[in-house]
Amino acid sequence: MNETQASDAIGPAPGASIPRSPENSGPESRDSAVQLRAVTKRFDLKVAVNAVSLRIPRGSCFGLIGPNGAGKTTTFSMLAGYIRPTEGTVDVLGHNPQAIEQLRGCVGVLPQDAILPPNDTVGDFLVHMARLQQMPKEKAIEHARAGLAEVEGNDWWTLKCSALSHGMAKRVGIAQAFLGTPELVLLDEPTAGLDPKIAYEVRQLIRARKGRYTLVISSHNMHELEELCDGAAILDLGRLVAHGSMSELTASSQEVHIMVAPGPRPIDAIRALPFAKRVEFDEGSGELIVFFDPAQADAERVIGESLWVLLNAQARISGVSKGKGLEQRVMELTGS
Amino acid sequence: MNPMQEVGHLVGRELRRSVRSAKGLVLFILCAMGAAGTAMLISASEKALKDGHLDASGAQKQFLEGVYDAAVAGRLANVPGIVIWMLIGTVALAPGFVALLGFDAVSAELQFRSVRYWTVRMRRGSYFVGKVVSVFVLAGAATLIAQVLGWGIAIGRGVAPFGDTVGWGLVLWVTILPILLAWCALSVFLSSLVRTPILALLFNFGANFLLWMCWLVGKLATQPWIRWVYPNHVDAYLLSPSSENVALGLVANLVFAAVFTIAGTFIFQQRDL
Repeated sequence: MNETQASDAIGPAPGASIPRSPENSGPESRDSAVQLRAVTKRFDLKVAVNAVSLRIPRGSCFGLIGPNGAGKTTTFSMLAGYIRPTEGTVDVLGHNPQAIEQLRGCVGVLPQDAILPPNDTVGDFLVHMARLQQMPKEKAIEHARAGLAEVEGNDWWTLKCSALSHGMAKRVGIAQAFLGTPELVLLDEPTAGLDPKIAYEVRQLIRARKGRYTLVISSHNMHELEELCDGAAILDLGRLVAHGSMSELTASSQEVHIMVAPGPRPIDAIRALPFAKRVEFDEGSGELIVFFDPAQADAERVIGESLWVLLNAQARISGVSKGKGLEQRVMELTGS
Repeated sequence: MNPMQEVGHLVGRELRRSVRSAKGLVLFILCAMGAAGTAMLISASEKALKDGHLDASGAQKQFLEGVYDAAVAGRLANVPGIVIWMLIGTVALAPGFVALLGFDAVSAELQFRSVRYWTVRMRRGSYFVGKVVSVFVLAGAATLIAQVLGWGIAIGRGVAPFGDTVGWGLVLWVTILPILLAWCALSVFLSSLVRTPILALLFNFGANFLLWMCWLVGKLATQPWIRWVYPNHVDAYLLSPSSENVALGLVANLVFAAVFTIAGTFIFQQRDL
């Protein structure tokens, strides 16, 4: 994982001259769906994003994480081409995000707070969007109907967008983002404001698409991101404070957390296990943390052997997790 | 997909949307009522002139000389009165009507960020030009429908001959299209500058008033050049029998429309959405 110095890890120093794509197509660029190099965005005096450099590999599911005001929506907006960076460069599939002709049909976007056009019917809206992706009319209708069916909106075709509930509108938005065969789909808060059942279905929808596209998801929902994403970038006050794979961010391949209820707590026996680099125990919460060297054992083995020792000592186990959880990690890094 | 195709898709969508919208319906009803009311009044006055055996053609020529000039009056002296009045009414009301049509063309989609669905799929320039063309097509269609309604009432009441009315009506409707285009470009330009439709509407009416003031000042102060900033000023040129004057009027309105379309496109391409 790259922490705090992450922005220096990729790309040249801020202010350095960077050639524009498509000339900018080295091996790293070709493997990247998205690349930000020393990107800064200022709104008058306010610096919303500060010298962020980031690379999102093709085919991955990547999360943009951070508290309010962290700069994730601004970053998202730059990726979608809604706004331009003040400094630095943004490449999406090797092109400037505003290079519409080169990116047509390759990028799908679910904007967070964009209202669907109220006087359009759902069918007309989706067909119009598909047509702008250069689909012939019949194919556009077919894709629009299929997209709507996937979000369980078969019956909404003739409804006006103004008649949709928040959840229905969000699902129509998701259907338009996945129209056609995009290589990259940007989703801003895809489950915000949805009831748990619909949110679960939307997550299933996204999960079903993992691997088929590069997915970039901006969200406040840490559990959702931890569940869906392979990697993530954590932003705070406009700066990139950490980024990496989800296991790196949550340290899931380096530590195991076991909640032990009051009763026997054989901590010394755990410390004696060969792979245990360090063991911490919090009496108050009953949380036992086993730090281990991933070269010696994987998390599953650590969990198995630790639980064997604990259960043999009649300890009562109330919970087990790999790593510390994304939410806790974000709290630590952002001071939220 | 080339920019023309993008514009075509957007215009098609805008026309479908306008037909369904409450605003479109209200404007259509207002147009139809205005046209019908005007036609009834004109028909009644023409009937009274006919019944009193008064020289309607002479009175019309005299009136047109006052409004335009002798050359235009001579050309239009024998045009059915209903066509003349519908023409004058359309030109006079064009700034306000187009402002009502176009004020929310872009501002409403900026306000609710709906524009973001489009700008990932089409060039921003095509979006802006598509909006101008859409408002122009709608304004053209609405004025034609209003005029046809007016002609129909006059023909039905027997105060206007069918052939002359429809023939001249279509010619004069085509003649005023450049004026509509100029107002449409201005209206969409102003709409794209703000995120609040009501503010865009105020800007539209404010700009219309300002341009009219320029025209008035130019007329009163005998400063002919300043009158050219008001698109309606060129109606006398477009109606003139002289092809040079028609060309001058056409170029003036096309330049006006081009300036605001190009400026609007440039600003829209640069701005954050």
